[in-house]
Amino acid sequence: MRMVGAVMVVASAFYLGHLHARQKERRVLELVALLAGLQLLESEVVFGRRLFADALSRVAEVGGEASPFFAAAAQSSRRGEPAARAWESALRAWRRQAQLLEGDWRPLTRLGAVIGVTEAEDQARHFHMARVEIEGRLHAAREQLPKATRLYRALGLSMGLVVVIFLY
Amino acid sequence: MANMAALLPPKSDLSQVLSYFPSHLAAAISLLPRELSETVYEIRVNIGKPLLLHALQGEFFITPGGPSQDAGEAIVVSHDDLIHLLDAVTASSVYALADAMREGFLPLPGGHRVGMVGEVRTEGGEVLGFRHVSGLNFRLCRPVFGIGRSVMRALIKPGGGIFSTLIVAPPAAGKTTLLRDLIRTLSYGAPELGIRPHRVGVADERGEIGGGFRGVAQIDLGPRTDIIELCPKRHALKMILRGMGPEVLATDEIGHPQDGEAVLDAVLSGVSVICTAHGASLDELYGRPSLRPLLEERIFLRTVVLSRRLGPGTLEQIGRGERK
Repeated sequence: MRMVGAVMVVASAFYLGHLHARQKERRVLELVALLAGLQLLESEVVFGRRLFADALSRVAEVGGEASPFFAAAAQSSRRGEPAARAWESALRAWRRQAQLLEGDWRPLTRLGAVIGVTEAEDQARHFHMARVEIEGRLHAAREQLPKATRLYRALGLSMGLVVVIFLY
Repeated sequence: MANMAALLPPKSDLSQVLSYFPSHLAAAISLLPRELSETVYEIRVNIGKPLLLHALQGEFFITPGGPSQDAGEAIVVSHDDLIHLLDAVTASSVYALADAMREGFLPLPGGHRVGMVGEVRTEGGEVLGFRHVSGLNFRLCRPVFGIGRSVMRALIKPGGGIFSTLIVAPPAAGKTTLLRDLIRTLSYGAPELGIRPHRVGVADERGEIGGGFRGVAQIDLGPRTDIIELCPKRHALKMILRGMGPEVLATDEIGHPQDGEAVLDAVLSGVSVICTAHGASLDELYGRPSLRPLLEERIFLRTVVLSRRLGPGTLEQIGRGERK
């Protein structure tokens, strides 16, 4: 019985560590999806000259981790909300479920303030700035990912073992 | 002489345009009495200036309590108000509408238009676009049905077709309104006037005749009317002529020498042409090198002169294309 309890404690602690590691992995996936989405949105806006709501819908249709964000922004924009407000409310909604860090949101917030309201060349400049910043954050996140996931899983396992040692 | 605008009560769909406005401005404009709101034809929104509208009854400033003649009480338009409006009329897609904005206006659903002013970006003397928009002028579309009938009788050929016609009027005197109604009457046909239905081609260079929005005319121009919009009329006239087999061609505001050549080509190929031109009188048009040859060659066998003397659409003269 004791043995079963010890195994359960270790497994639970390992699972907690694994969940943390998964969050880190999801952040990377979200950053990748966000970058791809922004690239497609830029192309729809700058080259396709599609209306903002239509451009967002196209990006949302492609799917991926960032799809809920683009879909929510498209929906608000279609309802007639100004672009900045549609973008901001979609960011707020996505924030509740996404694993991005505080700094990851900043380029998106800055982009939201100008999106749709200037000419194509200026839009391209703002998209580029946002993408460069997110690319930098993605690069750093990818570099840290193997170490971080190993660390969280090992930490979970170790914590489980420590608890078992203390209990028994 | 008749005031054609008075033949039918012109009504404007103000609520359609107010949907673009920030709520506090829309609420104030909504306080207009019904008889005034139905005749509004312009709303001017300029940063730092009082909110102003024009109706057939005159000019009114908008205060939080409704219309007033006193500018001091009026709501002053803020930068945020203008940004809200610009965002709304462009559907947050300034980048997609830059070409239209370069022309100085945007078409809206319902045939309405919004004119723009502000700081313009140029290169080598060419307009690239707006750097900052500081003012908008909402021009409400008020299609007036039936005003062309009083003119139409004079345009009918003995054989049943119609004479090529030039409508001459100063700005805001109703020449496009009359042109639309002539197009519509020809397209539907008017048996009571002895007019059978005609195939009509419209070269709508500025999207003003059909009030086009995303390629679809918002104003009824009849079931047999083909429209090419936002295309230089010299090209559009040729395209319709070659492609759609029109019996009548119509276009707005001819003035460029190449417009004259395209009109001449159309007339020589046996199609009747109805055009409008800016001017107070026929004599004034004789002074323009681009129009003088058309008038001297008597390409237009009918001329209609309008003014604003008794209000928009005052019919001053219907001539036989000859100088007085």
